[in-house]
Amino acid sequence: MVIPLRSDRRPPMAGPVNPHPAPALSRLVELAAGGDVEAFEALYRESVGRVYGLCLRMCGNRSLAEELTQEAFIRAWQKLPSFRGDSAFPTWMHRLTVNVVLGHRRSSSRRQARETAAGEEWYSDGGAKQDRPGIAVDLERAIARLPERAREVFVLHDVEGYKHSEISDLAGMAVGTSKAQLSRARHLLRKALAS
Amino acid sequence: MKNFDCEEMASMLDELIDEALDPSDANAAARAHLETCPSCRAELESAEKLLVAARSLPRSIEPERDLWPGVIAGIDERRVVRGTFDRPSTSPARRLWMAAAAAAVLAVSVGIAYMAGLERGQPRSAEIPTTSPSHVYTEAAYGDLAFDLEQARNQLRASLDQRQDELSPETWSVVMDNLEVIDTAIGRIETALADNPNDGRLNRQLKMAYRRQIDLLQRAALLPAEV
Repeated sequence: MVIPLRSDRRPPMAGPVNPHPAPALSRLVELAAGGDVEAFEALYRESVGRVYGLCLRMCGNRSLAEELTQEAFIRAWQKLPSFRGDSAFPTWMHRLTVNVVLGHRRSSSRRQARETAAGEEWYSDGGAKQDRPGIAVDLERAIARLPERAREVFVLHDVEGYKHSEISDLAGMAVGTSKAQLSRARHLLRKALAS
Repeated sequence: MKNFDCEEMASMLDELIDEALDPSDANAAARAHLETCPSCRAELESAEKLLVAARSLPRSIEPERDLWPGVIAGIDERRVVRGTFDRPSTSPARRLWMAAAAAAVLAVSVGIAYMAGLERGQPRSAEIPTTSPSHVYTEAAYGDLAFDLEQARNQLRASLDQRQDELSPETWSVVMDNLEVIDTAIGRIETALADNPNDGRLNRQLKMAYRRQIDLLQRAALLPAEV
């Protein structure tokens, strides 16, 4: 089966949503929802960069990000039959990924393992091979070193463009807490980048 | 218009750069303070620069290795064809076969329980020094566990093959379909493991796939004769 893919490799997963997704993508979603693994793999290839990037920034650990990325796609496969197209697939996938990452944090049984892993492997050179300016690499490193909740709120708000009310719903925290965590994150980042 | 001091400005910095301030008195007061305070102006510029940098970050980062094998293995592992195994039986040969199957199931169950204990950190035998580093012990244990599970699976499969004639074609087909799904998953996981032998997730998936297959074989082994 050969299915043409959209040329756009960076679909908007947050913020304004195109209510009419490209036909090729919607066809892939339809096929994958019906159990077509090949179509689902095409969807995976199309969106893995966005999903992995989100996981990596939110958890700050490469191996955990890989695991969460895989989990997000496995859950997407399970939930696709109930995907009704109320939002675009990239938006749906993005939200599902955020839920996977936040759900992982909420799992107290995994807390210890995660903290151990985070101490072992910081984000160090992710994306550095993609010819990025020094400030971006410094910023990535500083984001990875933020406290967990501050990092999550910063990534969702300042990088991904979520509003505080949306973060409040997703993360189960008060809007005021989301604002306070963002303020803390920004303060720590400015300090880290200035030093 | 209220006059702001530096402390008040600091608390309003985020709202200012997010343009969340009511564009009236508060905003005007903040701007007025900034015009006369180089320190707060520098803070604001730094905050704005950070926001621009954050919004300029690439939102897509390609993983360093292909994660698809782990995804497809996870999908296969959780995708088992559903079938009903609750048909009544009146076959006279059933009791004898059931006794033998129950013995096999008991043996495998004891083995699994034993291996489950192993996973919880109990030493498998006295040969394993208790002072061994835990990660070394765990890697060895996973290898043994997968091997033992494979052996148990093969024994149960051989038993099941012997009673194909006792089951209806429909039931046999459902059982075989399920076994094939799990076999496919095991094959994919093993292929992925060949490239990433220390991948913890894949090792857990392999173990889980074997367990599901054994569970299926156990249930199939206890099916009443239909023909």
